[in-house]
Amino acid sequence: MQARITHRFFKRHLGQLLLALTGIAAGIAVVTGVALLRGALLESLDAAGSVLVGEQTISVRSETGRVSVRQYADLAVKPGAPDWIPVLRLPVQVNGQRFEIVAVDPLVAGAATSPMLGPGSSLASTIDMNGPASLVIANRTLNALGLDADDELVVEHQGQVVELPIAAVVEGDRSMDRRLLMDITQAQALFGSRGELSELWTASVSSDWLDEHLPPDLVWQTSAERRDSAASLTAGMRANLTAMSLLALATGMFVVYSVLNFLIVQRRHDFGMLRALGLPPSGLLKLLLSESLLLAAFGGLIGLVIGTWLADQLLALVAQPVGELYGQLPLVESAPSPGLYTAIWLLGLGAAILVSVPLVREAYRVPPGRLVRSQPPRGWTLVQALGFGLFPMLAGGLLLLLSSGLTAALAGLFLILSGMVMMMPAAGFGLLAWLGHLMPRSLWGRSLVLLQSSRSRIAPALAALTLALALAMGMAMMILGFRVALDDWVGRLLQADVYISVDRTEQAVTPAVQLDDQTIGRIAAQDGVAAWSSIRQRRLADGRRIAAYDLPEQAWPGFEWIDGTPDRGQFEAGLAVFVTEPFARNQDVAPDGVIEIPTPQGQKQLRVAAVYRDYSSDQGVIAMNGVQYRDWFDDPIRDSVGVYLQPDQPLTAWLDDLSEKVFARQLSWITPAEVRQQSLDVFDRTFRISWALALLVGLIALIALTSALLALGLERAREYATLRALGLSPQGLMQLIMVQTGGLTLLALTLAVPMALLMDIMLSSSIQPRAFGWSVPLDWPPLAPLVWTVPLAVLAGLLAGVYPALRIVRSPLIRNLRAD
Amino acid sequence: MTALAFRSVTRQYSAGSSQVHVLDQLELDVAEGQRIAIMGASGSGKSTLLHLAAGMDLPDEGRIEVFGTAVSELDEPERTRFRASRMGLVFQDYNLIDSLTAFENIELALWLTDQAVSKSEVVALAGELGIEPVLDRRPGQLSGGEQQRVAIARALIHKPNLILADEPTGSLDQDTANDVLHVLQQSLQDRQCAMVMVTHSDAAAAICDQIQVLDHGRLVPAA
Ligand SMILES: Nc1ncnc2c1ncn2[C@@H]1O[C@H](COP(=O)(O)OP(=O)(O)O)[C@@H](O)[C@H]1O
Ligand SMILES: [Mg+2]
Repeated sequence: MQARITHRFFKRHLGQLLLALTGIAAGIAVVTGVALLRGALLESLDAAGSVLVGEQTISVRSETGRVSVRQYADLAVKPGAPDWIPVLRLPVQVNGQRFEIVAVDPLVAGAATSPMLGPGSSLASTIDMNGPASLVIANRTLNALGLDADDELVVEHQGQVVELPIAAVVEGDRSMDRRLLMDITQAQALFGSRGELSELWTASVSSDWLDEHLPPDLVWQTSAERRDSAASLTAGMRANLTAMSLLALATGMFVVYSVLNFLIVQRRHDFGMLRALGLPPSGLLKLLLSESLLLAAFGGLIGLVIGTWLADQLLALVAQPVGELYGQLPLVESAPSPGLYTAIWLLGLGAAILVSVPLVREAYRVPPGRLVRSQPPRGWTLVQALGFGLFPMLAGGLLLLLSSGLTAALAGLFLILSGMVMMMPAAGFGLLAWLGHLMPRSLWGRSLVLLQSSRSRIAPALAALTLALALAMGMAMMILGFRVALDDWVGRLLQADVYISVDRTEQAVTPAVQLDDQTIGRIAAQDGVAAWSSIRQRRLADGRRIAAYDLPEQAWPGFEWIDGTPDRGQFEAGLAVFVTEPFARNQDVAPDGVIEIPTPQGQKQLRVAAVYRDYSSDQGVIAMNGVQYRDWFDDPIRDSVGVYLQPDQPLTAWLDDLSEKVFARQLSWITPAEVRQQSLDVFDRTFRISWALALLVGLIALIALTSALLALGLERAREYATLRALGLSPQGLMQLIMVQTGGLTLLALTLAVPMALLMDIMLSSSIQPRAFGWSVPLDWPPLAPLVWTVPLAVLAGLLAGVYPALRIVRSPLIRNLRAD
Repeated sequence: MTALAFRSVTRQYSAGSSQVHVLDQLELDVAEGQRIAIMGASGSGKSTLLHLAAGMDLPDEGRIEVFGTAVSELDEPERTRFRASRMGLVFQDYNLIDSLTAFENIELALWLTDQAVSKSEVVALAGELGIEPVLDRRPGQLSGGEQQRVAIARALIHKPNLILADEPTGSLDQDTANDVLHVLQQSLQDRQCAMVMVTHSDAAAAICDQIQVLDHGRLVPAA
């Protein structure tokens, strides 16, 4: 019996059935898509940070990325030296994708590489050192390339293309993703990098020995440390992904809820009748539950499929930037698991159960006659809504103000958003009614007043829509605002006319020129130079980074001070340092605090004078005086020299002059404009992930909007027909419906815009600092997201209004007039 | 002048492969101010007849004139305007708008015919119909009789010349029905308004000047 009622209803309202399924599928799809996206990205971040060799294996590298064979030989003959495994790592392209060749000596590297190869494989037995060059590849990677074990791989390295056969396919762990193993001698011969190594591995050496014998331009790190620093490098990204997924989850489930709610509230009268005819409350419960569950189950399945497809599309978009940012490009693919699917599907069913609760509760309490005659509960009044909404908002605000942790801040953000969502329907409909009463005699005013009867049906849809719109716009604003901040920062930072460094691509063949005092002297002696600055970066053994600066007068405006007093005298005397904002936050130091730096001359203490804005590293940097640094670390080299030209000196002429006279073709240079462009490129690629999420949520908002408005139009057919019968012309009805749907759309936008602004502010000033360590200066919010979203939403709203309007205007009046 | 005239009006529906003639060459004349009750078995086509008279449906054959105007010759907007200005409709199940108060529901008819709303007029009419105290309530808060009286007020407020009522007391109990019929009769008399009322009730038919029975697609005077 119950099944028949459901069947009948949807048979007669096929449009509504389709809309309900679409809405549910859209909600579940966004949840699925974002969950898969997050899972795949986290896994790829893990893979990018995964260690090649055992946890305690130590790798010795140079800051320049190259260890010379001479350095290797020196280290090998030091007293007490361990057995070194020389390693050459080459970035290559296979099938247009980024791969890495890891070349080792199979005989000495056997034990170190066996974990990455997987059970039953050893390097010595798979690579034939005396035969032609060949590769070891992992099964997963081979499959991803769509190749067979007897195919040859076309490998490209710096323009040079080589075809290599596969020596062996191994099981391999994640660290073997997109990596190719080969013999080091063969690799050097093949790619013309004789005499060059990337790093040295060893398993058996003490840190004391390393500190004593390693030359200053070589650094060492254990695999575990390397993994940890990779993990902390991506911590901000992880937190952001998680926050966005939670928001998308909430939005998606809300969309599902609102769709189901619409169906139930709309048929309240029918259900009351059924109760009156003798259906017991338990029967109603059964009817509602089976109906909602069935819809949620089917819509959910469709949503899972669409979500998986969406995730794959978006992953293709973001895989590249993730790889470029965090090093090795890992195999990024969505890994849908039965567990994840089941969980999301069950969440959808949970929403279905939740939706049935209010009506069933009412059915148990209220006699059927009252159920038939009464209007659905109109929800909270404006005062109630403001009261109830204010509470979570205040709690969230307090949490944001009082806590310093990321999790607490995310919880605060959530609370504030829920408070806003609770206030939204009452506030929105209040606003519409008020507007309607402002122009009581006009079609516009009437249309808005008439809309109030659908209040309980569309309130959740309105809230879901507003939340999704706000989320999409808020995220977009945050990204654009941050981009502007970054642009400003780079623009201010780069005060010099040109930055000069040693050309590393030429360095392999020519004896290296060093950027030391002598070289700088020769650059500065060129005609037209007004001043110069220099920077030398160094990573300390504990992972903290130092930037040693020589700063002329002209460079100082490049700093934006956030806290403390930038005492130049103290800085130049080597008595004080400045730290970046992320450093201050991560290491919990404030101006006048003291930091300790391990130097070859022992522990040194430095006073922190001021904190400055910096977006170059979310780990943070200590800026110290170059003279002091060179004294303590005995390291005369600079990474880059900034040249300030005299006002009348054209840059190109000066550079021509420089390349003719000084170290022809051993120096490279970059202008501030180019640096700025590069930074923005990197930024854009990084935030493609967030864009993808914002896009997904925005898309769902549009679908939710369309389906809510369509359903609204179809459901009000009888009211519209009555108006027509009483004398409203077809055009008048068209207008009325357009005013209503347009009004709802504008209402959603009106509510979404302040919410988006608030979200932008919270993301920029609370979440960013906690996730990355840096803050984004509050400025006028970028309006581009509004410029895009508002017309698009209005257009969708109007289109969604036109269809039911046309349908009703065209269909015979009588059909819609008869009660159903 | 006749208020409403049906000349050889045929309306048929296709039921599967066969055609069902609901109205078959039907003739009807209603004089100005005249009240006619139409009775007949359920499914005999009474509502169809009213819908045709109101111009909400069009005949397959024949001609329908309201105050001398052939309704089927107007286009849809003209027909709508004509209906709104000359006729008042009372539906069996009220068809009040849920979101509007009783007052606003009544006012609706004025608004839709572009007439100035005079609050005192609405209140006066409501007073006549005995619904003045409930004017600021919504339909959900009204009894069936009150709702139907609001619907009648809505049909009368813009001073139509022809009322088309489809079983106006169909969902009311005897006492309430009598109340409603009484005020309807009073109002029509005062306004010189014609009416075609479809009904099953003898009491309702009794307020009319003439009773016709719809049978096999044609009207015959009641015995
Ligand atoms: N849209 C329609 N399609 C087919 N048959 C219809 C339609 N509307 C009404 N009918 C049929 O026409 C006949 C008359 O209907 P109606 O005028 O509503 O009867 P009454 O009001 O006298 O009970 C009925 O048999 C009904 O089934
Ligand atoms: Mg009927």
